[in-house]
Amino acid sequence: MKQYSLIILFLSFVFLSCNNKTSETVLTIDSLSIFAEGDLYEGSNTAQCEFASPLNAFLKEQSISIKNLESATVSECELSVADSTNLNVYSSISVQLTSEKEGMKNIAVLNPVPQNVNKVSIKTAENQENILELLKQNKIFAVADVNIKKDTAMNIDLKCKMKFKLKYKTKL
Amino acid sequence: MKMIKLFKLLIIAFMAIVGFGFTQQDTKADRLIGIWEPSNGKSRVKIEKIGTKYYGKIVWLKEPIDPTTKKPKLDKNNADESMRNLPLKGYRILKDFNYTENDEWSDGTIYDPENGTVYSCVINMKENSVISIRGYIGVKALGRTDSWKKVIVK
Repeated sequence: MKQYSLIILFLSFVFLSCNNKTSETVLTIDSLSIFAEGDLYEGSNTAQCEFASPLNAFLKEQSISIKNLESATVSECELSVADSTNLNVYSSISVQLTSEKEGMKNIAVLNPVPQNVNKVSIKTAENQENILELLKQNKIFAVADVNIKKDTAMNIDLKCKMKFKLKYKTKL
Repeated sequence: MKMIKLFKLLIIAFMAIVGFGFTQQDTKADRLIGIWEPSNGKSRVKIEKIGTKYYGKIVWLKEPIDPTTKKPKLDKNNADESMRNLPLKGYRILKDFNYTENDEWSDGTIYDPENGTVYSCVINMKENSVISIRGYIGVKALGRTDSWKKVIVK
């Protein structure tokens, strides 16, 4: 009798463990203003901004525990310029994310920068490690390293839209 | 009434001491900010602060043009093929350094574009214008140290 109870208990545990499915959602960060004040000099310049992780709001809204999160990647990165100028002044742009506890990660690179456009979609990195750990931080820094073709008195003011693909477990 | 005044004064004094301590620590740590040249003189690296950590990127190359492609050198050895299009000029080779104490910045990494490898790294300041950069794998004993000089921009 005791053996049967143990088997039932074990099977119940197995059933409950397998009773999860993986769901996927996209978290969007709109209109990040990645900024650096001019004068800018020919060559490499840094612009940055701090933003709050979209993860907490999602977990609260969906009543999901942080333990149920499986992975995250940056699926899209779009840059645009706020004013009427276009992106011609830049020769290359790379976007990175970092936080106080997690290391900096390269997430997208654009080289060369298309001419006479105000908006570009940047190819995201194939190898993205620990993006989920980064999203678990409250404060995240987005950094744009831009190469400028010539000296200019302008500021760097890039609007950035980023999409994070998030995988998490839900009960069936 | 006198006690309240005294208490207020004590709080102000305490805040001033704590604030001064933080400022002093920041000032010490921020001595790393600037442009540095490795001993081989082939490049210059600008170290800056993002949040509370220090990062360095290549801002000048002695030979910026790839002799094969006749175009600006790219990070062609990056382990992630999708990132090989990134120009070396502007590449962030030093990442995530925290100021610990005794003129040391640790917990960071250094990237060697010659072979596409990332090493653990610790930085020590010998004088205000010289730092030693030690890249290593696993334990500090297994590594290589280079001296970098501060470049004074006129």
